[in-house]
Amino acid sequence: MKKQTLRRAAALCCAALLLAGACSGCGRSFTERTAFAMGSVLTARIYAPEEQAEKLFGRITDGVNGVDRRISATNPDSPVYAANHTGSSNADAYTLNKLGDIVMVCNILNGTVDPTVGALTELWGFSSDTPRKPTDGEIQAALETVGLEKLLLDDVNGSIILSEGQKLDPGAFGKGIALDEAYLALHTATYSAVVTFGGSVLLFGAPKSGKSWTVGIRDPFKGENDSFATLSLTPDDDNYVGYLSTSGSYEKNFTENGVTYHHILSPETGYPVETDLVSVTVCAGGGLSSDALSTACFINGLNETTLRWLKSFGAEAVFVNKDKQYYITDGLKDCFTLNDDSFSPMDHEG
Amino acid sequence: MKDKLQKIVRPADLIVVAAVLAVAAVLWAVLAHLTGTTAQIVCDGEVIATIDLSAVKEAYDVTLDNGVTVRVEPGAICFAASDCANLLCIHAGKLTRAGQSAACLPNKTLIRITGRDRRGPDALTG
Repeated sequence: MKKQTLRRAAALCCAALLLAGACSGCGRSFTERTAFAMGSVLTARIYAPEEQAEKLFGRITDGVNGVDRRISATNPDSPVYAANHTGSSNADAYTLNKLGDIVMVCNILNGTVDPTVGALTELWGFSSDTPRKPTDGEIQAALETVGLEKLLLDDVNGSIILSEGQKLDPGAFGKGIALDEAYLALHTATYSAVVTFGGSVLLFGAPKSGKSWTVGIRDPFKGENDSFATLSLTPDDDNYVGYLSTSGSYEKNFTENGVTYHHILSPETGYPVETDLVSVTVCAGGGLSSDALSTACFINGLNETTLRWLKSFGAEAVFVNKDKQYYITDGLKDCFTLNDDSFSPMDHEG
Repeated sequence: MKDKLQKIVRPADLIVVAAVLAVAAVLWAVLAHLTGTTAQIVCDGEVIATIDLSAVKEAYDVTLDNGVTVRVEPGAICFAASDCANLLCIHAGKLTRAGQSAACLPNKTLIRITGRDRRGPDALTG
């Protein structure tokens, strides 16, 4: 009798130890890697054994660096860089494809966001060490070069041909396209992963900390690690793919003569867009579309047209204005948790 | 039936179960505490330092070759100085929780606290 009890106790002890071991390991069964690419931080948390995760991360960075080599305006090896400096360049099919995708999305968004604003962004210099407010004359001259119809992507001869003075700035799309590549690197894998690229997010596979993936939305009035709300995205199955992208006026800005200029330029006026909004977060099924939409929604503001765009892409969004008010599209209403009581819902009726 | 059940689960067993669970809980708490908060300094994708912040007793600076100084404090890490123009890295402030990170992009330097804050979200967009 005693022997039996002892044996049972021993078995129980083993079970408990296993349990404790499992618990101390849970939530840590991932490998996290970071790289610098396209002027941003790329971080991947891959829920796989280290060796496999390492391999997958290598494929992700290869994909992202491939995007940088093709469409970055700052990489001297890219056809886009060459075109910006000489007016035209030879481009491979991948580059022309990606630029074609960008142009297509921008056409759907009525050119509210536009990759041909390069001359304008260069003038303002938001990405440089010395940003400045250009003169009205300079802005008018640069505006002349903006327009999707003035750009020629020649698939037959494999070349990019810009109009006089025109420059490409794929900045509003690059991170999204890079996350699309990250997805391609992961898509045959059976491991879940979270890839963050300079504030844009790719969620891949089954959530690992519960039934939902949780994504914090940065508090526009606080530091980069503070979120004012959390979205809980619950996948229907384990093959989930979700992209989030945020455009905020807090990102890159400078103050000159007491006026603060933010980096989101209107392709129509050439000036930072005047709006009550401080950030727009878009959740969509594609990297390019979520990236382009967040910028377009920020520029166009919260109105019927903007909401129609979101619907046509099957996307959802969270808008935040300078009075700490937020607006959530219908599809996210049940997924939204406020973390900071100083924020309140917006009056706007969608 | 009742007899059978009593044969399988005896009062003594329950005490053993309770004791085992208590031991497991203590073990788990100790383990969780021991792992603490680990910070990493990453330069151009390579981890150049891994620091157990819970073992730091006094603040000290780590000066890197690229003009960046990182301050390590008990339970916290932050950028202290940088030769970059916008100083966004300094403005990022102190990191104290798992999953937090800050970067100096011009110098390709990143500091982060490894792991995932159990109370925090999977990711942050912004």
